[in-house]
Amino acid sequence: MLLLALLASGCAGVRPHEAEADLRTTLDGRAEAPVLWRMDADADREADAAVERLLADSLSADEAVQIALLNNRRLQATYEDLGVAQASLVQAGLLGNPVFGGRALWGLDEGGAPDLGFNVAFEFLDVLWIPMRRRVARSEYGAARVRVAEAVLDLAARTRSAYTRAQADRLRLSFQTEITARAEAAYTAALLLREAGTIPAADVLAEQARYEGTRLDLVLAEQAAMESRERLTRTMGLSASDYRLGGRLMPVPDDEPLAQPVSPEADTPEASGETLDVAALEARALESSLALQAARYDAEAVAGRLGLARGAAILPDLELGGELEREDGEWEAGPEAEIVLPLFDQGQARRAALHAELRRARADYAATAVDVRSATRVLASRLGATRRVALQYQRVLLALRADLTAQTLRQYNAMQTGVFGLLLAQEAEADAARRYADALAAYWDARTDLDALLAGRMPDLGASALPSASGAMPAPEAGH
Amino acid sequence: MNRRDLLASGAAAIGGFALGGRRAAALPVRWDPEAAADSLTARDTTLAPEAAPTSATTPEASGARPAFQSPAPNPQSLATKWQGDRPARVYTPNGSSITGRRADDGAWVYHLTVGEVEHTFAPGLTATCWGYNGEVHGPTFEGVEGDDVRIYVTNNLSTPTTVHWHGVFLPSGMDGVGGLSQPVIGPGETFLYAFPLKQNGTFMYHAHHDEMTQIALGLTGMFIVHPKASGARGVDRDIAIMLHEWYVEPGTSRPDPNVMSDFNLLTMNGQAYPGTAPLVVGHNDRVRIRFGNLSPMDHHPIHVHGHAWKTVATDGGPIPASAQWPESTVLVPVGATRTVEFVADALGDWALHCHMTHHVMNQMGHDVPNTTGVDSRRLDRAVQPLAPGYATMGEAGMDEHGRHIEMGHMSVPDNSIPMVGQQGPFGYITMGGMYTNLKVRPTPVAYDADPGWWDHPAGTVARRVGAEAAARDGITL
Repeated sequence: MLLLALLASGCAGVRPHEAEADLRTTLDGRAEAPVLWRMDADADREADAAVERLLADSLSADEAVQIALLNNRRLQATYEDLGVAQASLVQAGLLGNPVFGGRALWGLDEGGAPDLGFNVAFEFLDVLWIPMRRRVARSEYGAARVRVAEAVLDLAARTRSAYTRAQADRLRLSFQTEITARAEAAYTAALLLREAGTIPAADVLAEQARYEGTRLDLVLAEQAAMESRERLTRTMGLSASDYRLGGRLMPVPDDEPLAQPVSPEADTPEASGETLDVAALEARALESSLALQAARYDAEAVAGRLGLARGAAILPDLELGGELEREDGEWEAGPEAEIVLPLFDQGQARRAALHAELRRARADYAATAVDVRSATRVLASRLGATRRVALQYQRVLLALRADLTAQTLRQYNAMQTGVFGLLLAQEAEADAARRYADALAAYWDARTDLDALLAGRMPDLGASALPSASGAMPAPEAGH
Repeated sequence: MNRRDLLASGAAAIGGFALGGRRAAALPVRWDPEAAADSLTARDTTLAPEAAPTSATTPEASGARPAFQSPAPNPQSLATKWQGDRPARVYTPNGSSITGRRADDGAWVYHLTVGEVEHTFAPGLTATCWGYNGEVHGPTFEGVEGDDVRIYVTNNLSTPTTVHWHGVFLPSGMDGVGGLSQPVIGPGETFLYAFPLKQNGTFMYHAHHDEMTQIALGLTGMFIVHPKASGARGVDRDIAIMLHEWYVEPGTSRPDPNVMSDFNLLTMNGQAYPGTAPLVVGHNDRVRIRFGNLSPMDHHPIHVHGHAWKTVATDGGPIPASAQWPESTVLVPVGATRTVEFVADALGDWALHCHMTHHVMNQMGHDVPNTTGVDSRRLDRAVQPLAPGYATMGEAGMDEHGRHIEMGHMSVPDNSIPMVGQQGPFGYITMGGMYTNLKVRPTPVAYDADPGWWDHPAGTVARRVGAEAAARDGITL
């Protein structure tokens, strides 16, 4: 029995690299970039070198995600949850250490040789509990593993969104610069006309007021671009924002199915295409949901602990041991046992608490499933709607605005409109382009969220917001 | 467009734009108005197709415009008698006339069809108007005092109409006022007007049902009754010109009848300069011009350069010689005719135009900032980087502007002729609208051909002088 116990626990060492390998296995096919757990100086050096390589030239979205996975220290901190869980798993396989005691007694009257006593005692039933405890610890380790994996997916998705937003805000800034330049030209024109005495002061003031307004918009656009860039810097775990953002905000791809049909009134023929099978997506999302898996592991762990508690009620603590005594010069030896009598505490309170925990875990599981299903439907639909909007800009609205500007220039040449009308048409064109940047960002965000959901990450549905039809963006949510 | 293209397009075959060529065939002796009306109805009023632009500087196809050709006068031999002892016909520049056909009972029969017409106001501007016999304005009606006329009017519009014979004395029921003197002529219906011609003079005809719309769209024409007196004309050139005004927004192709004051197309016989045919007369010709004005809202003071004329008649009848004033400008009120006569005793090219300055512009907009006196260089510096192709309006003047548009360097809305004039012998003529050139040439004159620009005798053209030349007259420069 003792031997068995020794075998069971003998060579149990803590091997964090095993946990890292487990995490990689879990992320296999889910994450878009390799993970690296910075456990020692070597890993640190490796990660730093990789980050430096990635930062060498301009940054793509994929590269930003890679950097975040290597370099975001909050994620590294999350990895340690896995370290802790793995240590607990090892701990669960260890036998309780035997207790060794000894005594010597001298007669106070006569003196002479002392009576000696030695005993060794050890929790005998540990041997029986170890497999059960290990099962519980494995469940807890599993829960930790999938939670950490979800944290990886979550960081990757947030990095991608932050990258998209930073690009979109950079675009918005350039269009706002154009708008401001045109408003400034209109104001200059008004000043010159005023100088020549052909317009009243009110007209100049109106142009100036408009121009000053666009300058404020420019200040805010610059700030928004700065902040969204900083958010990206934070998610990548960099200490400075001196990297170069590469690439363009990609247009909507042609060959992507739509989520679901819309009303005939809202239908845009430009965005026609096959529809997504949302029911199949739901099934996939449920299957790969890491949050669901974590909830299942939680329930299993509670169930395991409940089994342990039941066993403890039947088999209370039993300590076995042996004693060796020398009394009056004679050695005596014999076994010894201690047993806790469950007279008062039969574990009923603990069992009740575990029952409650089990019910709670099951309710959590069901609630998570409901959330995953709904999130799938929302994101599939959001993907379709944002795709529709962005495509409408891409294929119709931008060309429309450009044509309108060209026709306005003709009207200007024909003296049907003046310099102010021409500049206003150009401003409207730049404004449409600015809204297109938002529409594209919303589309790529929806795409990122849906991809991550199908890879197992539960999105924060409140966080990603749609741009309003008027082009105004909601206030950016606080960084996670 | 070169001449070969024009001939190939078939435009020459209708005699509309013959370039300096005389009409090959004289009118037939037995003039058949029906056949003429039919051929006019079938007339293709669209522009000849443009030749492919050969200039490498043409920025875009839509910007290239047909080269402006001075249209030849409408070839009409005034010596042609209608039939027997009928008087010679009136010359309607850019138009035609109908002279009726003798019926068995001796009455003169005419046929007018009312319908939509694709009408070209000037090269580069065509719009869907309403006209008579496929023309805008309707053909000049010619009859002789004492005739009994029967006029059949067929309505091919989708809306009812009537015809009023403006200034003509006739039975009240023939007066053509819808609802008052007759029921309206419904779509597809034909009405008969029959009355004797008891006066002679210059009158008009026009729609008198929903006039605001129907006149604005072009339903007007001249109505001339020649005196009985055995074809005695008393003049060498007898010209009929109907004045009109329209609003066609640049880039559109239908006149807007709702416009009340902001007219942007001012026409003589439906043509805006440079679409107006020049008035070619011989030196010392006795010239009569019969002006009619059915503009919706504006009277027109028509001014002739280099001559003075007398107003000899109105749509109310002749003015006694003792009451005729010499004038260089005749005011033609809305809804009236004024007949002027003068001797063309001054050789040269003379402008003849409405003196209202906005009436000698083409499709100019009025709702634009006033850039007069503005430092255009600074304005261009502010705007040009943002709008390639931008140039401050009026910076180089209208002539520059019009030339740019003509040459296709400056794109304007399709189907529009803003600020377009014509290249003249000394530069760009910044006139449009109600403007034509009176060309007085030594006799004999080929009335049917544009003689080109006047070749001035030496020393008779204003010229730049230097300080030295001015000093001879005591002028210090």
